[in-house]
Amino acid sequence: MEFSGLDLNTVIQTLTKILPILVGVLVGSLVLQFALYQFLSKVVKTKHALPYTLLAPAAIAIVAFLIYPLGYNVLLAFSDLKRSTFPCYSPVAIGECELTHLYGLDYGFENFRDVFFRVRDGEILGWGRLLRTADSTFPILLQRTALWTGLNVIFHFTIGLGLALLMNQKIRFKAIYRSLIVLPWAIPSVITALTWKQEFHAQYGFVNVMISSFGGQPISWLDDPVLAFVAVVFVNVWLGVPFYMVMLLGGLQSIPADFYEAAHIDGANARQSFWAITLPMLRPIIIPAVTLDVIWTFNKLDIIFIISGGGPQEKTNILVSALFNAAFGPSATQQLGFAAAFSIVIFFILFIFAVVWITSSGGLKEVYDR
Amino acid sequence: MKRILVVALLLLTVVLGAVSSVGAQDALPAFNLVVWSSDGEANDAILVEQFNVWAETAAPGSTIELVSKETEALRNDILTAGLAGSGLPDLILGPNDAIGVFEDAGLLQPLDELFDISLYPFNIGAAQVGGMTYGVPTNAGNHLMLMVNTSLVSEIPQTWEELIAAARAVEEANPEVQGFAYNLNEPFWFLPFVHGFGGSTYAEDGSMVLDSEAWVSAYQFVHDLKFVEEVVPQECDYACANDLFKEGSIAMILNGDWALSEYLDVEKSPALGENLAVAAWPTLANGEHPMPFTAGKFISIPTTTADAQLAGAVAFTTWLTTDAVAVETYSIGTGRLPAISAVAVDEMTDPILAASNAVLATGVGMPADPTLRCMWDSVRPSLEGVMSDSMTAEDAAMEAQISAEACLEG
Repeated sequence: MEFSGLDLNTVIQTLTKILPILVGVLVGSLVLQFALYQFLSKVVKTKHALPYTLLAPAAIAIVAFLIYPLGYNVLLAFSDLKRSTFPCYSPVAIGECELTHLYGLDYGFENFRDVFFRVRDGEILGWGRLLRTADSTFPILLQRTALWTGLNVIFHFTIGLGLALLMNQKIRFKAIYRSLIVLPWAIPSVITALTWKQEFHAQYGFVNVMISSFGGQPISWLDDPVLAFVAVVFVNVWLGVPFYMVMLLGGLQSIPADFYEAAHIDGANARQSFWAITLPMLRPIIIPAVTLDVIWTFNKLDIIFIISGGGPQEKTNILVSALFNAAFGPSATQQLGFAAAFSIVIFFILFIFAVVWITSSGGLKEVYDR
Repeated sequence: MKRILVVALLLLTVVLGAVSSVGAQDALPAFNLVVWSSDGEANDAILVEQFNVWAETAAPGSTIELVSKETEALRNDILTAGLAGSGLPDLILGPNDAIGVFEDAGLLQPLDELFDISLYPFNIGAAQVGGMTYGVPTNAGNHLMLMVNTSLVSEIPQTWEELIAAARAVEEANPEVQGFAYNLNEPFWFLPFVHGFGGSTYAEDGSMVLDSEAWVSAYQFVHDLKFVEEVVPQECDYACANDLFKEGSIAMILNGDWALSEYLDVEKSPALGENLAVAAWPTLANGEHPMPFTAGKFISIPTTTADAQLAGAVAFTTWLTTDAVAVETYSIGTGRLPAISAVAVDEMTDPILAASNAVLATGVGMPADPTLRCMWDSVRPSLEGVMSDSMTAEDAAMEAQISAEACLEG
């Protein structure tokens, strides 16, 4: 093999390796589906043979890529898997396994306890450090995650709604503005994050170049914990606004103009129309959008991971970035059992939020009523 | 006559057959060697060329698949593949501190029976854990040095006062050029200062000591370089220092021997080439040089490499690290120091490597102990705090000690 970058030769070599696998998977799937259809129709003799056959690939994919990993994650949470116990769990590691058992409730208890507390000889010494510093305890990370999520959702919603209201007006070049505003959404967030990371560079970044051109002093955005947090929030707001604008603009355009005309005849001004007509009519869109946004933002790893890496001093980490760093980041100690337990805690926080929020807001009421 | 001709032909056939069978016995069967490397793409390209040179006679038809990875990615990917039980490469090429981690996870084969360890007298200890050897050095070094663009700085600074003065002079003469920069928040660049102030990671009894006078002095020194002397940029990571030095926008940096081949290549580094000079770190006020960690790059063999793959991997690695021509090409040719005594640096023809050799002598050997990770991970947030002026040197040292102790507890 010649060592090279992404040239035609590399592309051909890659395709040569991948194509047979893709063709094999395709042909194998068709053969299996045909066999399944024959089995269901001839042996089981069900009248739903065709729908079952067509659903089978999706069902298998869900089991393989969603249910199995989730189940394995739960299993890991009840293990003592860490670097020093690799020989017990890895089929290829050499060395003596000193564990009496691989999985158990005792390991699970310790893993979940360690997410919250630091324990020595059975005595609780304080909050557990999920990473290396005192800023990486569970309550601090939860507070920071709540702040991160709250700020993002508030700015996403308010700016998105403002832009949607603007785009709903009769203005010239509306299509161009709409395309420009949606652009951040169309760019992969990893690319956006990498770009913005450079723009926040103290010496060469666009942000400081602008500040300097107005006579200000350059700012070390990513060296200071507060400013680094501002930077990551800013980038995520910039990324998230188009989603709300598109959703809310669709909702605005579905509100019949008669409502506003009637309100106008009754003497309502623009603000009264907004509070009495626009917002209530947008509610079926706002509630699911906010729910989705909270879940997405709460779990948003890439922006923080790329721009600040959770630093400086681990002070821009949120729960998921701390989890990633604990399991795989530069400070990782490969305590995978602990990391699995940590991820389950995060899952339950979001699950409880979703249930409480959706139930109390009645956001999915219309869906259920239908 | 006809009979003589037949006998001669028969003899010729027998001789040719014997010769070819001897050749076939010497050559290894063709195999595909998968290598994961964190040695940098420029050096990896030469490694691939070297494999092809070796395979041409030693294992005709053999191929190499080399995957270049960042050091952290290499560490995580090896552990992930090890846990999965499949997908490990045949060879791993990386720094020695990863060896301790992989050995701790039980993913490396001991190499004492596979190689003649006595051939590597300089730095084999950096790849030994518990008396067993888990890596064969491709070079000695991996050490940080002062690198100077002599078109901007004519005299190599010998002390930090001289360096600061030289950096300011450069910036006054060339407002677009940064006088001095390095990877500010990376502990690997910070440890030499600690060593220079007389500190170390481990005490004599083996305990980890990150809160001593030397550590505090080192934190204070790097803090003052940034906030008192204002001689380094507000923000600079590896890419910043490396890229800007290559294009002539930084006059002096601190970087490792792995970058030399790129800096000497004028196509990749238009501002450097013959303008590059390498020197020991300037001395501190106590008269000591900051002392970089030294080790080298090492080839390790995972537990899954077996049979023809193992035979081929061992044969290739032995050739790459002990054959004089191969070492000249792959070690010296990439600006690194050889790890065997049979090949020496010619100080007359290669002043850069001679200087690198001199810096190597000022360094501190980096152990392969996996607990070293606790030091790196604990020092990083403290260093970030000091370099953002939000933490005092004393607090930084104290926090790092607390963090390291928690890390060691597991």
